[in-house]
Amino acid sequence: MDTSELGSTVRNLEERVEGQFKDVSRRMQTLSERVVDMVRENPGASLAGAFAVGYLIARVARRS
Amino acid sequence: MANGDEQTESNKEQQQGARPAGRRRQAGSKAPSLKDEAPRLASAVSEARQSFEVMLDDWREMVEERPWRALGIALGAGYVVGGGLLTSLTGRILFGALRIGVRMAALPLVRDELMGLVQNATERGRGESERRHQ
Repeated sequence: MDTSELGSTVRNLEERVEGQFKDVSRRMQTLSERVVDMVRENPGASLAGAFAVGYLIARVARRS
Repeated sequence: MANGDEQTESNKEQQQGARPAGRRRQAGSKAPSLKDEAPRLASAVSEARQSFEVMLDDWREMVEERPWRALGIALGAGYVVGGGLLTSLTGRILFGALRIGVRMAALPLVRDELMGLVQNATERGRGESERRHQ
């Protein structure tokens, strides 16, 4: 493989990875905004839910 | 014998009568002190209520400003209360976090090195192709 070919391949790969990374980060941001809105609207229920999830994870971890 | 019995009966009555009177006296002596304590108790209760309300306001503010942090704290509290602190999962989580941290710290260095290598390679390639054309 020629070095210029290698360079173009690496550049293509970088562009593709960058595009995918941007897409994933946009999706994560949307999800984060939705979660933040939900927590701000129902703080008590959200915190209780998070506490319950932590408790359940601990119980499952103790069993296994 | 009859006199003796009467005496013992009267003694018993006196004792039985004396006990409730003593109790009444004790209760009577405590009653004013409770009355005195009532305002202090009420102020203590109102103080506790106020501090609880302040704490709730602080919590609401924190949830408003940093919702992810609040969720994490609640999750962690549930995990600790559930007894998950001394499990293998905790070790795995800590080890994984450490590994990710090291990778994140090393990533810029590795990226710079790779970019430098690619730049060198492309420049060398251009130089060779120019020489061939000449």
